[in-house]
Amino acid sequence: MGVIELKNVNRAFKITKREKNFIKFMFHRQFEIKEAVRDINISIEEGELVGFIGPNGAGKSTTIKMMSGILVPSSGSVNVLGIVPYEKRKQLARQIGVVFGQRSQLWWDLPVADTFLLIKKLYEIDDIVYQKNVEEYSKLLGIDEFLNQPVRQLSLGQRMRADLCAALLHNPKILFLDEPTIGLDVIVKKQIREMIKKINEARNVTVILTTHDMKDVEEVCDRIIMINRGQIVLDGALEKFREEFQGTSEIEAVTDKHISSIDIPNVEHISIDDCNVKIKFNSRKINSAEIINCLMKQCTLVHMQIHEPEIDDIIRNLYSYK
Amino acid sequence: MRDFLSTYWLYIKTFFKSRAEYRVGFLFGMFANFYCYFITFATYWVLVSGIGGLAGWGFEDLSILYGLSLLSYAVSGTLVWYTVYHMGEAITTGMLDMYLTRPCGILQQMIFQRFGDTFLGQIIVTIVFLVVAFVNKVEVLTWYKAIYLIFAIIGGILIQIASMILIGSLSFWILRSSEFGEIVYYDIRSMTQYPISIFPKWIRIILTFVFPWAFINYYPSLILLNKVETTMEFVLGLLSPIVGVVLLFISLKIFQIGLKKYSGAGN
Repeated sequence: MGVIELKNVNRAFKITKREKNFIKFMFHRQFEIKEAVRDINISIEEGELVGFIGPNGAGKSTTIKMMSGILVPSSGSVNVLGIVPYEKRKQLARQIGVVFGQRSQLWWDLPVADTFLLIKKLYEIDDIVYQKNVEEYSKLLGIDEFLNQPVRQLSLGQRMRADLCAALLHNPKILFLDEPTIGLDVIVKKQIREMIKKINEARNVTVILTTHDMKDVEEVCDRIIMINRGQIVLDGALEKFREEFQGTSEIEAVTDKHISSIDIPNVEHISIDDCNVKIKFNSRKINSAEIINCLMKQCTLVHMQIHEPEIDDIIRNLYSYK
Repeated sequence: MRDFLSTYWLYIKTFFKSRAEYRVGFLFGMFANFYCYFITFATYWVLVSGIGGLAGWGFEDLSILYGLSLLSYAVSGTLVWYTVYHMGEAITTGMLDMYLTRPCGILQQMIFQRFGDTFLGQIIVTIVFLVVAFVNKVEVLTWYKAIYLIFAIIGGILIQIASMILIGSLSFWILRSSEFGEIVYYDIRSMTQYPISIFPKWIRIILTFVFPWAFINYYPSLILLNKVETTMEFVLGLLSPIVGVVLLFISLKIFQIGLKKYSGAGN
């Protein structure tokens, strides 16, 4: 049994139709049942690094909230670390850490260390354990540089690192990250992704993150779960994902002299503009080496570039099944 | 209980430390609060000097009447006003979700989250006026009255806390519950600044049996100041602390129900 088990989980919301007429609202309210998630089955093992992706409103947050004890499923069973989240909320809370991407739990005007002390108190963390963790995260996340600086003076990246550390002080077994790199610049995103991986390696913490940034998933996760319209569309290893959903690759080549036509079998599209040739192909049907070979028999190449399918494109295609 | 107090104490220290930056603003706010309520008490004094009391209530009587109301309000304010009363904010900002992922009761966390420092000024003013009033009317204070006074204050505090929790909890069902609170809790309760005997019977009934604000200060004052005229008033006075306990219990239940609804339990 994995550390997280969801079986046949459904979650529906009753939404009151907003009535303009106050009298109608008081006496005859109409409801709409919106199914946020339907028949979700997930099993996650300890130490996995799982990325949840999906369009807005797909049900990612709802699923995470059911795992972390915020929401109760309408039906089905949720089991996290052997606990049913909504039955033993506080007990589970001791073993999970949550970082909400847009909401910090750090006190704005005070040094980071002060918020840590509050967390130490709230989670009843032992003095020795606390010291050890602060030291270790100082090394892993570079916290010691700014531990005693007021949060308002920190850069976004530093704040994110501090929030990560804050969520880990009590040695949780599972870390939930809701959009952890949102709003961060490219360099900081890279930092944070590195740190998530380091934490997972060092402590074998199971990491569940939701994101819209495919690079987060590519660089950090070993498993993708994609949710669309309340259902799991995809659940598997990153490589498997790439394999199954090969998008269109492209070869861009520049020839030494003008060429009028090129003949290459099994490709999707060839476009020629003076010396610039663009070839679109599906790498399951034909690989780039074969194409280049074929191309070089028909002309001399000055320059060549291969573009792998963007995962974003793959996702966009999947998302568009709305 | 000890855990709660020691944790709360840490949060309070941390809160004041974070306010240290804004020392001037903090002191100014406290002074403004102090001043504002000082003026209210002074108004009674003017009222009394000008028209010779209100329905037989002298300045000390009115001080005690208002003091009981304000003291219980301010104490409860330091605990729950900023957070629980404004539950709607916790919901829309996502703070409630954060609380739900921590190993501590939700109401407890909300109490810890923000100490109502601005109410301290009110507490100081009120205590000053209450002490002065009782010193001037020391003849009414027998030892069993003094004990009753403590229970009455506690009862009043409980009623006020319960009201703030109740109004905050409405946010689980309707938006902007604090507007509703403005009318029912603030406006209607403000009538108890005056001895409600001056109001027609139907208002007294509302303030006793519909919105029980009269239990906070009026009935206890009747007992403390030997103004009880009917057995009913005496009984209601004694019941005041109990009304506080019952109301608190109800408010906690409603909060629980609201929280369950938020999480979607029992759909």
